[in-house]
Parts: sequence; structure tokens; C-alpha cells
Amino acid sequence: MRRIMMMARRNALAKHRPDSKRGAMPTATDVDEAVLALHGWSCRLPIGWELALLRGTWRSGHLLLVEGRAGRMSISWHRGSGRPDLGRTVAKLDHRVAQGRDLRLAGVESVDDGALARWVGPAGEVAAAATWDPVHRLVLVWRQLEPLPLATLSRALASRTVAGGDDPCRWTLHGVDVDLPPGWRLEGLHHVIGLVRATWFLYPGGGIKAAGVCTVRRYALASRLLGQGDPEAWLLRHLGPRDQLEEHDSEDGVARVTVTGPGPTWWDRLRGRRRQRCFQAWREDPGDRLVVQEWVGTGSPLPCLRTRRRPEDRALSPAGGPSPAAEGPTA
Amino acid sequence: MNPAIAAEDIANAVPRLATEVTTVDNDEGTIDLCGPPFKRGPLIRLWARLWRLPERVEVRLDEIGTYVVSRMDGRDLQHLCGDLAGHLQLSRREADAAVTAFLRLLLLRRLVVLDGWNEGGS
Repeated sequence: MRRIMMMARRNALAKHRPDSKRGAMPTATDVDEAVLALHGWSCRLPIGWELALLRGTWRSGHLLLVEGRAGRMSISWHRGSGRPDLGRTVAKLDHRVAQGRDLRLAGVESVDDGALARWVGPAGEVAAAATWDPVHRLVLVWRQLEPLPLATLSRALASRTVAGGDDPCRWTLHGVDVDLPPGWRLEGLHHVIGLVRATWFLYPGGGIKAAGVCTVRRYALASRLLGQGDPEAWLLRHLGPRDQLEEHDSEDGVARVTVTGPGPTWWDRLRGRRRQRCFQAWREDPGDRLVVQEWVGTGSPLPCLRTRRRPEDRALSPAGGPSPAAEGPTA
Repeated sequence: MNPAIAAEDIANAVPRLATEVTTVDNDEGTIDLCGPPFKRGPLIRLWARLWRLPERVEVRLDEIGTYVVSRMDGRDLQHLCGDLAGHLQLSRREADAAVTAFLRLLLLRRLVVLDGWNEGGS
């Protein structure tokens, strides 16, 4: 019954949708946008938005995007086995979005493998969408938190990409912007003032036993941290007391240091096994950041994850660089 | 500080050093903040002298703290954050959090007051 009502609403309201044609969606490159990419999916969002909250795993989770102190959009994702009932998802959204607010459903329309719903209230229009990727079985639910132009959501929907479990994928997390080979899953993210630390585990073949750990730390105030030295000297200065230096060099601005230390378990230590750790560090000059990549595991170490993006592929909320809000009076 | 206070409420507050706080240049090129002597009764004063407790709050700032305090010349909090963000190439959110945490520590020690903002209500 609910589905029938929604179809009726869709037919009735599709007439006065100004841009109901999918082909009329604006392209992603004609506006100032940045890429949000994590957990195997990505999309383009306005440049001033920031990731404020991230919960979940590769399988499912949700995030919150803000602009300044105002919430803008929440996105949730879920990898399932079957095709979801997107009409039911939109009906749930109807309940959730309109709850406690003076909003009424203004229309539901189909988008690429999904549905988009709009609500109208005194303050403006709020939209939400649910999309389904049949190849990688990923459901994405997008929900605007405040009245925004519908084009913002439309562009995000049009620009979304989904990677499979066996594909390499990009991660953009509070300024950390790396491309990781297949099998790496985010297991920890720590963001405090001046430091972002992201940790990935490698699960080869989709197993549950980790074969490697990659940690990327991004420090602010690199010029103060490094002083007169370079990243290699900084790495060597911060080795653990039981780390034994194996090799170190610098090339093209990237410092590489390999150390071995005692094995992680008693059994390993009794057998005299040592664990190898590889550090790579480099500076990001625009934001005065120091990025340190640490790899621990078996097999060949991860290559350097430093990337040089084109301006149109920049990551969302790259902390650092000239702040747009830094126009206050200066002495 | 009351956590229920909206950020917008204190964004326009103007931080300044408390009346009796003095700044002293130190040999590290930064400044020390010296609060007024503690008001103690005779018994507590004797106790404090016995245990060699400090007679006033003295805080040595680092370069960044010195930069922030030296700019407390009537600018409001959001301009202070903007200045710090531009100076250290921080994002605005990082600068907001850093300046707020710094000022909270100074407020706890009564070295700084916030003008143009009433904690009791708007």
C-alpha cells in the first residue's frame, strides 16, 4: 500500500520537478568540489564541507558532514547480499526527516538505481536519496540535514563511484589522502588538534586474520616539528629504544627508514623472531604537514603512499593550507 | 565553562588579560604570565611558606601561546582563531579547538577574562 502511495506521489510530483531529467544533472567539474572517498565508495561534495563524524566499517557505517558549525549531510552505507527495497528505505527516511519538523513530502523520483525524495518546509527544501550498486551490492543513503540546493545532492549522486572488495581504493580522511591496494580496511581513526592517525589492516582474500598494518599519521606544524632537520633525521630521532636500524635513505623528498624490533608475542621472542617495520615520511608544504607512513607485516612492504592529485581531484577538508576563514584583522 | 554554551555565543567574546595579570619577557623569547598574589589568611600563609607553595600563578607560554596572548588587543575570539589559522596554516576547526582549549586553561587560572559575554545567559 505504501509503495502504491509513493508511486502515486511520484507520478503527481514529477510534473513540476524543474530538473527531473537525469541528464540535466550538472557535471561535477563545473563547481568548486572535493572528493570524499572511504570504505570503497566516493563522491564529490562542496569544498567547504568537512567530515565531522565517522562510524562503522567496510561493511556498514555512517558519517556526518558539516560546514563550519552547521550540519549539512549524513551518509550511511551498507553492503548486503540482496537488492534492498529502496521504497521502504525512502519511507523510513520520510518518517525520520519529517519527525519533529514542519516538513511534508514533496516528491519521490527515480535516480540511477535508487530513489530521491524531497521534503518542503517553511525554511526550504530538504532532500534524501537511497542508491543501490548492483555490482558491489552497496546501499548508500544520503540525507540532507538542512535546506540546501537540490543540485548539491544531485551532483553527489551523479559523481559517486563504488569499488569492490578486490579493487584498490582511495581514502580521504581529515586531510589524509592515500590510495591503498586491495584488501586494506580502515580499523582506526584518531583525529585531535594537529594530528590525524589512520590505521588500516590488510585482510588478504577477505579473511579475518590481518597480514599487515599500515598507519598513516599526519602532523600539523611540520616546520616546528622538524626544526632545521629533514624527515629522515626526525624519523631516526624518534625510533624506539629496542628498534634496530636496518637501513635508511631519502629520495625525492621521501625519507625511508627500516628497523627491526622484538617479535610481537612471547612465542616469537622465544624463537628469536624479529619484526620488521618500515617508515616513510614526507612533508606536505601547502599545509605545513608532516606525514609518516608506518608499515608492519609480512611480505613486501607497502610502497610510498604519497600522491600528487590534480586540482579537481583534491580531497575533502584537507586540513591546512591557507584557511578561508583566516581573513581576520592582522597586525 | 558550561558545555551547554553555544559556540556562537562566545565567538564574539573578546578575551583579554585579567586586570592584575602582568606579562614578563623571559630569556626564551616568550612571555610569562604572572597573576596577582594569592589572598591567604595568616595560617594558610604560614602553611604555604612552610611547604614553599607558590605565592601566585605563574605560567610560561611557548611561542604559540605568546602569539595568541600578544594578539589579545581587543580582537574577538573568532578573529583570534582566524589569525592563528593563517599564521600556523591550520584549518579553521583546528585553530578554533586549539585557541578554545588554551583560553580555557587560562580562564581556569583566572589569568584571562572574556569581555562581551555573560556566562549567566545571553
